Amino acid sequence: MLRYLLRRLLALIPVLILVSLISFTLVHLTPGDPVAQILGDDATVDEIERVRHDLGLDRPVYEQYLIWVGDALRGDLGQSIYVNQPVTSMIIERAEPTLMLAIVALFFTLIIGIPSGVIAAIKHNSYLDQSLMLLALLAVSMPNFWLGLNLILLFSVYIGWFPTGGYTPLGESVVGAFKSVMLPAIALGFSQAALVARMTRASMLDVIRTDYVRTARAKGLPASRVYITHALKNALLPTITVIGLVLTVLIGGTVVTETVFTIPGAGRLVVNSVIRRDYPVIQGAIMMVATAYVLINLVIDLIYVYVDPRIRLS
Amino acid sequence: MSTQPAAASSASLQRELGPRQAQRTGPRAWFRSLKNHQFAFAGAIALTLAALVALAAPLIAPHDPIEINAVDRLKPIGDSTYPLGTDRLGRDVASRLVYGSRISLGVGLATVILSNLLGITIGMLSGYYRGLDNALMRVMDAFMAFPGILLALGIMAVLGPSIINIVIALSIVYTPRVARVVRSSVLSIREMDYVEAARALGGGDARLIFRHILPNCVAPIVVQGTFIFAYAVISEASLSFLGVGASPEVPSWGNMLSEARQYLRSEPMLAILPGVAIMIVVLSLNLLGDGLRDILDPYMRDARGVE
Amino acid sequence: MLSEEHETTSKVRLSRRRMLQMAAGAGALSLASSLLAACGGDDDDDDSDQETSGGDSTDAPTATAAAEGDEPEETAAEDDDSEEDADSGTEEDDGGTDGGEATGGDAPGVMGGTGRVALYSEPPTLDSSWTTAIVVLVPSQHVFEYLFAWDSAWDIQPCLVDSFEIAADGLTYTFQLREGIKFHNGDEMVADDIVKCFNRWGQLVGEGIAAYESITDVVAVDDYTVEISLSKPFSPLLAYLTGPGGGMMVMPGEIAEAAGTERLEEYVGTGPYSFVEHIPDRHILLERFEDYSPREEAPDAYAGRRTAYFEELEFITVPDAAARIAGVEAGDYHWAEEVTRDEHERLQDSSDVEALVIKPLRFMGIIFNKAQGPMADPVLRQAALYAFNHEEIMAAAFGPPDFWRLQPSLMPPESVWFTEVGAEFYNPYDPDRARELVEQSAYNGETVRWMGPSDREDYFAVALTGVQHLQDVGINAELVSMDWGSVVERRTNPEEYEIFNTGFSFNPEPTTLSFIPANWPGWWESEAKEEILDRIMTATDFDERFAIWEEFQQLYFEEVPAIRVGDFFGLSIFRSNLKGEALPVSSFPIFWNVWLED
Repeated sequence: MLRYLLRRLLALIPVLILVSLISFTLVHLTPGDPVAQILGDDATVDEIERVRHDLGLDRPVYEQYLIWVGDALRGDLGQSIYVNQPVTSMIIERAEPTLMLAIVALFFTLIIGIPSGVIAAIKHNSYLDQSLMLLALLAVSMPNFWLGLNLILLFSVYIGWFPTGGYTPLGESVVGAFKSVMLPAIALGFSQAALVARMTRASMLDVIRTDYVRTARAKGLPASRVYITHALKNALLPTITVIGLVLTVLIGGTVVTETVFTIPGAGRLVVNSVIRRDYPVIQGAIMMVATAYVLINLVIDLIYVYVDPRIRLS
Repeated sequence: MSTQPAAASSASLQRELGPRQAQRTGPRAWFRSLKNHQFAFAGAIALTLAALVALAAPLIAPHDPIEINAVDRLKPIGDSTYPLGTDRLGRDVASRLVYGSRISLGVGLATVILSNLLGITIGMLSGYYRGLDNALMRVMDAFMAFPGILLALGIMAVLGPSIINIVIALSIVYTPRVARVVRSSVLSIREMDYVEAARALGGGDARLIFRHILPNCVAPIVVQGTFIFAYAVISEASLSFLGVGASPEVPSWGNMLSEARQYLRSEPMLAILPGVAIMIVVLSLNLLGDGLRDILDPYMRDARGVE
Repeated sequence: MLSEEHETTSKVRLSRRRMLQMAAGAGALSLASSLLAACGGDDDDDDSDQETSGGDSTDAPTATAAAEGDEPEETAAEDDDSEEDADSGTEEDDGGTDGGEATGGDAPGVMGGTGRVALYSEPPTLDSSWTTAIVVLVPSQHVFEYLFAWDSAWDIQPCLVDSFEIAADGLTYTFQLREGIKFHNGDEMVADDIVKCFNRWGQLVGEGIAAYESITDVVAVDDYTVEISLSKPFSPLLAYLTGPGGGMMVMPGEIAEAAGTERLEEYVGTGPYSFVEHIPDRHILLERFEDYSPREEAPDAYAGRRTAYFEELEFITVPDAAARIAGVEAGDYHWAEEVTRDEHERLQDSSDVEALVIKPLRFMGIIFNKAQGPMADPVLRQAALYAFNHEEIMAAAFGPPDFWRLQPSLMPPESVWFTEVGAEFYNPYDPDRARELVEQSAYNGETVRWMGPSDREDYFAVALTGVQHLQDVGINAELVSMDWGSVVERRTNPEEYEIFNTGFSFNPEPTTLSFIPANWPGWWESEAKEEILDRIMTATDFDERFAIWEEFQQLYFEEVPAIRVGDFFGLSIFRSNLKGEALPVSSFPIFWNVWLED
């Protein structure tokens, strides 16, 4: 297992190098000039040139890349061109809202997804099952920013239960923090809940059909006890392995959701930085997100290996 | 955001599930079992209708979807000239919806085709020629290390807003996912007895690939294709919503949604109609995809997992 | 649609900078008068105003400029309440010079609370000397003050200066600073700080660089006296020092010195609010500066007494206009700028939200590439002029007719430079004539690329409609969409396009129009133009200049370097319980002398 882990970790190195190359290339191929944007329209050509030079943007791209890699290896992701703050601290500031959003969304995903899946499986082929599964499909089929817009309209503008956007840090108010991520988390978690429900339903069905559950039922144990103690426990195993995957999706999903709800998280940082052509921030944030992404994927794979050691051999 | 197919999950699960039985079923049999799946059949019908609308758009649409009529802006639903009202530039909503089906279906289909062409090629090469495997798969891993929407966003920023660029960006996003699915299919198939036998009989690589291996990858490819199609439709909307999608004059559903955002309070229908249109198409695709998976490949059932 | 960086920036700043670049040496120009005239609307041509020393500017103008800025609720009645309500340490009203004037700030205010302002774009810094971006100014002016401040008539009033003298020959300015002014770091402001601020201003800011062509020396005579020596008279100097919108930001000398031409790292000013933190995309947080020493004169736009009613001020970036509206409606923000114009009608019915029309905000201009390509042919540009239905373009882009207007003059009706010369060529919409002109021109069906900013809905609609109009008359126009960031970069390259469009701020001085210089994108090279400019720059008498300007406008209609389609207005909204005067003139909102009721 340890050797497998090491092998997998080593394999991440070329991936991350490639990621940095891809993102650097993309970032520098993008037309537009960050300096022209910050200095305002009234800035003269000379002023723009001076600031470009100060920022090292007039150097060849490969040189800029090497400088960036060198600094990044020392833990320095550079300064934001747009707001002149260290990229690392900007990303750290952005981590809290994004993590809050992802975790609350994950929570919704699970508390909606698992019970619905269990119920659907128990009532297999009933109307309840069919309508739950159709609802689940409906949930996967809507753009979640659209759902988000509708939630804002309904719960913030008409009813006024939640703020229309923004984020209250945990340090300021715990209740406020949860309130501010509630709607986006629902928007984000809804489709994932649907997928978890489908997953749970399927594995529950598999377990229900197994012999020992049938035996338990035949022995006359009450249905609820059989399902909950025997079936659910076994059925949840594959579901749990999905959590990691759900998490990666949620992280990707925050890009759009944070924009809809104007949450100052990592996803919105990237979107805004692309618009502002804030190269160091795009680069740094993408590296962080990609690293998180591959690590989560690695953990998922490790769980699979743990569950089914045969995979290691392949 | 449901923007990427769950290649990671399905690939992993396939690894777990091991080699699949090669299925030998003709199109007619597919159709027959499709009919037995009511939902899938409904999806197929809805999709066919959407495709017909897209093809016959010029006949159906009451107006030019791009023409601006500043005097007639923001007409409500039920207007005598504009049955579904007009948008902020006085363009006919009904016509834009109708033409929007062309964009959505077109982007979806083109993305499926392009990402499959690239993905199958890479997956085949990688699965069949072990020497290429490591390098190709590392590159694919690198692309998959980006959340799909972020990668698409970055590519769109470079290429600029246009329909073709959306197809390119989304295809780049989905290619690695296709490649991984194909590669794992190839890996399992190439070791099978009949492939071994064919090789022993001196079949060339090309012949082996096209006669024996490729046909056996069709099932997962088709199933995944429907899901990529669905994600592409949603992704187009998301990209347009982020302001990097199709050029704003293009009557795509994503653009319509993105513009409607400013009018959510006063003209909510502007947002609801394209949202519902997207939902119908994506729902049909998902229904169809689910059905196809059940029919083609029972082992993949619910293995599509997340995203 | 994620970000809106606006074309031109502050009206005041732009004008002064550009003007100086072009009019350097023409010192007799009275900037203050043109500013006043353009912005205030009244024809006050007397530039002696600005030279009155600060001490005796007793003519505190009653009330306010732009009508839309008026708060209906304003009353000056209950003066005594204000003392009771002032529960914090701010020296709110002790001066009490404000006898009977009905000015906004005399109304009793409520201390406390957090004022939340939704900004349309993220300020890259609070250093408004370093960037010309307008969004920086809104928060920045609460932290940094200037030696002088604009009043509601766009006259210059002292701010950090107590009084000043200008020598009769115009070569020496002596500023007497106010005593006891504290910086946010606790230090007292002294003359030496001002000298160092002058140094930075002279190196960094366009106006400053220009002023330093005349300034020979700035010295601290004693702790509260600064003397500026000039080699030749430079009449706009005071206007150049006045803020907000340009001006010389005052900060501790060591900070100014350390920053040099770089962006400020620390925001230490003398304003009624001090800087707490800037977390990009979340907020800029300011808090009341308890040691603030307000002036005693009654508030008048940016001049006069400043009272920080709010405990904290939070500026939140909300790039999406719909989210800004929803946020104000839900009570999350108290003020939002640049919201969707079509929502005006609905918002007027709301009892919680008030709407202000900012009139005029900018004008829409279509710029042709005159350096190369088909549009370099003036006949084809004439054809375009006849092809555009201006009304349709404005309606498509800016919606309800209360948000735009058609008018023929290059300078708006609010300006003294308004003239109808050449009006017969304004909006001469006639597709048949346009087709004839296309025939007569050298045009051979080449593609005419029009760069439209896909992330700015209203500007994009102009491109979209315009392209349609050109196609209608047989010009093979093609819309090339790209985001605003790309437009700004590509428009400087003549290879990239034939047409682009953008909005222009209103500048008091006509010769500062962005598209006039031959090196601005579009490249208007014309001997006739240069000849007219030469004359207008050297002329000193207004009537003489006006006559030359009329010639200029005539030339503009003949050469069609650009097409000024029409003026458009902005919409700002705020909570009904936000009292006081946040927008005393159609410019940057202020949040001192402003409070929340209940």
